[in-house]
Amino acid sequence: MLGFGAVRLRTDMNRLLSLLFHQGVLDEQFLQLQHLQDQTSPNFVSDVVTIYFQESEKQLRNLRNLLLDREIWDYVKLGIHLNQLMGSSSSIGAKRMRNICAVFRAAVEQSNRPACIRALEVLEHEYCYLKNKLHELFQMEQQSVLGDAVRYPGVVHQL
Amino acid sequence: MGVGHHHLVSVSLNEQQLGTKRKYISYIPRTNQGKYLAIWIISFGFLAIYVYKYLDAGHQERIEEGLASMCDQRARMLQDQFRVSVNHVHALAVLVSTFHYYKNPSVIDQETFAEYTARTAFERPLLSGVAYAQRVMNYEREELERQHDGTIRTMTKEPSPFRDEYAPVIFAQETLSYLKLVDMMSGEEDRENILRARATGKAVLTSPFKLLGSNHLGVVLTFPVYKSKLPPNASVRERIEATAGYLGGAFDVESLVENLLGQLAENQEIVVKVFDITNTSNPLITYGRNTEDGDMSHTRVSMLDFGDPFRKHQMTCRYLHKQPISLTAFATSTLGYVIVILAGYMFYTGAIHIVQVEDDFDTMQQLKVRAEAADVAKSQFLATVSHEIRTPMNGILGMLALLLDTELSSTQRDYAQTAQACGRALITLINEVLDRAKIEAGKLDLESVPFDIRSILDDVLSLFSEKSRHKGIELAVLVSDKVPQIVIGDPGRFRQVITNLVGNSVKFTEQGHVFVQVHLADHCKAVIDTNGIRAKSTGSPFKTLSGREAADDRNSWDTVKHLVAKEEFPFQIVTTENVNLVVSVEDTGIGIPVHAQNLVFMPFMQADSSTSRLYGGTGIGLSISKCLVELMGGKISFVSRPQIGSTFSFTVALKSCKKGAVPNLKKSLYDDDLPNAFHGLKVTVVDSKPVRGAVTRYHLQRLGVIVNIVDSIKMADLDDSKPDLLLIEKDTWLSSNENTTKPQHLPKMILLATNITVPELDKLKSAGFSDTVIMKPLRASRVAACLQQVLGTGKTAEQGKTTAKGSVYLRGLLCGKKILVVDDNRVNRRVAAGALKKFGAEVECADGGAAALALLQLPHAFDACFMDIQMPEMDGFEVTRRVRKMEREANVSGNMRHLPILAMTADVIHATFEECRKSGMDGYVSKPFEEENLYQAVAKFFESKTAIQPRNG
Repeated sequence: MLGFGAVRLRTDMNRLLSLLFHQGVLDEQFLQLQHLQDQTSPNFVSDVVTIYFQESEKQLRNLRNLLLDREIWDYVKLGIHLNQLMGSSSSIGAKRMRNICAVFRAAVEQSNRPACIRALEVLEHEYCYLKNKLHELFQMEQQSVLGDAVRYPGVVHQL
Repeated sequence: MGVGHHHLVSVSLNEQQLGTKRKYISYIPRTNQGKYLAIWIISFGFLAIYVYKYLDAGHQERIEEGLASMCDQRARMLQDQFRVSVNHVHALAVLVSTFHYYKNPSVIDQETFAEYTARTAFERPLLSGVAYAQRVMNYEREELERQHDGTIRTMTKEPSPFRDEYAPVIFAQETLSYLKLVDMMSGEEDRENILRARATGKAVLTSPFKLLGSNHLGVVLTFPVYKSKLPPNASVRERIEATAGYLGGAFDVESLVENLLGQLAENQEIVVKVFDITNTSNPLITYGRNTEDGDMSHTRVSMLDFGDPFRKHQMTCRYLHKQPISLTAFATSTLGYVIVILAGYMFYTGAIHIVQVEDDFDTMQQLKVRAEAADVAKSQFLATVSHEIRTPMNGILGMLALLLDTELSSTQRDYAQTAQACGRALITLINEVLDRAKIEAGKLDLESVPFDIRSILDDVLSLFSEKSRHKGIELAVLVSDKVPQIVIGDPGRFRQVITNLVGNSVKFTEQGHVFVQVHLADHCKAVIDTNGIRAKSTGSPFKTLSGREAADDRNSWDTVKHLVAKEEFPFQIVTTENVNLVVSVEDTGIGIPVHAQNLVFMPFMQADSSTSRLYGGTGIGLSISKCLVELMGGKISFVSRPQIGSTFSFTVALKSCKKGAVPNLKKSLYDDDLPNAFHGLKVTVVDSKPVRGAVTRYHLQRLGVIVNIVDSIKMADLDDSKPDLLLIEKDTWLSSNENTTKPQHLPKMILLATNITVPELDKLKSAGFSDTVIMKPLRASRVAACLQQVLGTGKTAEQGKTTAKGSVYLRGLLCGKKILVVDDNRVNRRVAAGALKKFGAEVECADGGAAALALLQLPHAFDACFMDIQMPEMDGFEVTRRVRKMEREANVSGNMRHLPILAMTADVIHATFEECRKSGMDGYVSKPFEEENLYQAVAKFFESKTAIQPRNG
């Protein structure tokens, strides 16, 4: 039964992943990341993603502060933060995040504050969505790892 | 973004090129050519008129001179004649005075006078006659009338009234006898004449008037006769006193001049008029008609002197007809003008034409620039779009792979697999399009690294071995042993071309063979040249690899045996820098229809639309191959005969490389070092087909085996060289199987076969071959493995077969290396570190330029450094420059250090790469990390190091 559960979990994971791919939230870089994960670094993906979330939250906060500061329009700093966010997003394969960053950067270059604020809102929304989905994914993964751990030492053919 | 960027580039290119105006200088007026022509014509018209005038002036002068001379001549003659007559009248006057007055009594009477004058009339041709009138005072009238027996009459024949003085004619020439006793003083003209004559003592003339006898104009000449001799300076009064009478005669000027002119030639050419201009304001015409006739443009006036100082005469001459204009002058100027007009017209049309051509040329150039820009844009577009398609396609394929991992029903699995296959095909196509676009956009750079041509060919062969075996066609490779082991070039592109050609051949061949040969171009040429044109082999078993006829019979044994012959090649080619290879791929497939042979290298052109239906494919491969071959400095060509086969051959210019000089050889992924355990092994190959035998020998020789080829088992039996092994071709064995069983004394035998049917397999088993069959296509490594198995030498050493995967290879490269990753982005740092760690590297991280510099202070233990370019505070370029500076300073003092620094960048445009190079980086890796990419970058400089150290694969 547990084995069946594991299979279902994996199926669900795959479904979720393909959904994310289909939506363009993730791209193949994420798969590359998964490839890097092996016995020597079993939690590589979640590690990286956790760092990503920490960093991104910091960047988003900074961006919001910079944008809400009505007196100063520091597009240099905005650009730096955006580049950081963009670089890390493309590293983990968060494609939609990266694309929105690109739009955001274009708006910054045009000094279009309303567009920037709009972009920031979309970016925050997208960030939340990504975070939720990846959390979901990792939860499933953990369960499946637990399931595997239970399953493999035991009798192979339970079905 | 990518698209926008390219587009911008192409647009700016466009503007830049269109913006440049004509580069040449035009000497032709671009507008108003008509006006220039008009000015030309008009100005030269004036010039022509001037020239005409100039030339005509001489002509006119000559005409004038002619007229003057003629006129003068006439005037002189007239004058002379007149003078002569006047003189004669003078003589008569002297006669009269001498014989009439000085003699007393007079010895002259009317008869004497008449006779004398009549007899001397020839002397005075101009005078119609002469008469003598005596001066008679009124008191003497009666006496005279008595003497002469008549009355004095007036001109009107009436008896004269009384006057003071009379001048009746007493003597007259016969012709003038009607004048007898006519008083000359009664006529106005004569009276005046008489008075003037006696006052001056000279001959005087009247103005012209109509003569009595005729209707002609004439003048009367009057001469005074004096009674006594007068002193030369006598006064008028003395003269009048002494006057005795008057001698007179009438000149018929008109007939006179008429006669005179009649004597002259060219008379009718000119009009002559004689005027009495005594009264200058009213010249009286003496001769000629009063109307103005003749050519008015030329007039010559000659003065006449008839001896009467009171009367003045002149002669006016004109040409009767207008003188013809000067033909030479006219013709010269007219012709000149016509020529100039024609020349002007020529210039005009020429100018118009030139302007038009220039305009056309301009337009064409603009169109050309536009077309080129469009072409570049197309290529860029293709490149971009292909790239953009590739990204989602990878997603699709990844997902399909994931899907296939899940539990699927067989139908679902089938669908998914089909989708995956299609996706792969699509990716292949896109890659090809991308390749072509890259080539066209000039973005493809060829590598120049050393590689082993033989192992590349083995790779290609192994790719198609499954397929060829399945189809039952023979696939073989033969590399001439004159081709150097290691050459420098672009192995990837070389392989791509061969793969494409072999792939096509395998695809289109159903039976027969596909044969790849590599020879030195010069050698090949020399062999073919020396062999000359051989008679086409018509024998039924063609001496090709499989015995089937091939399109280009150059690859038959006749040629191949020379190419593989041991004899030393006369030309020293191996020592030269360049290695020109000719690669030919021969198949016995369906061939290319003659009508389609021109289109073979055009992209997306297949011989026939049915071809793509039957065999699939896009037909872009050959065009890419052509581009690649041309990039590599070679040419591709083919010979094809429908239903017989095609032979594609191409040349390629590579560089030779001293073996061992460059150890960082780029290995093919499949290659494994060939074992050298078989050195000195003696093998006899039994093959009835020499070409096939040569292929077998080639592979065996690569293993260091000494090969002897015989064409039947019997021959092998007879051979006394005691070989260690006997390799028998399946066909040969089967054909000789009937009468020969396995010879007992022969060594171990191995069978070579392309494909084996089940009954054949049974037969072989019964003959004891079951384990010792080498399936073709032959590859040195495969043969080696088989030999090992048969001979039992060495354990089945795995030969590092797992290196087939790049990642494993990469692991080998990076294992144990200490690598520094510099990136300000934590996530990126983590990912990069993770990726590198996965390949066994030891990774340390720095979060900025300053930290990196601190870590890289010499001496350090890092083998390489991956550096992000875009970092706040200090970017990657700057860090690299500082590191290089430190190294230079350290190197001055001794050991050479050079830390490989690889840039990590998200945009892999060329400019960035250039800047990387400039600041001293060794290469770049695109972000995010991709295995292939990483492999390529790392391989470049780690391979050399690992190659020196013994590798533990």
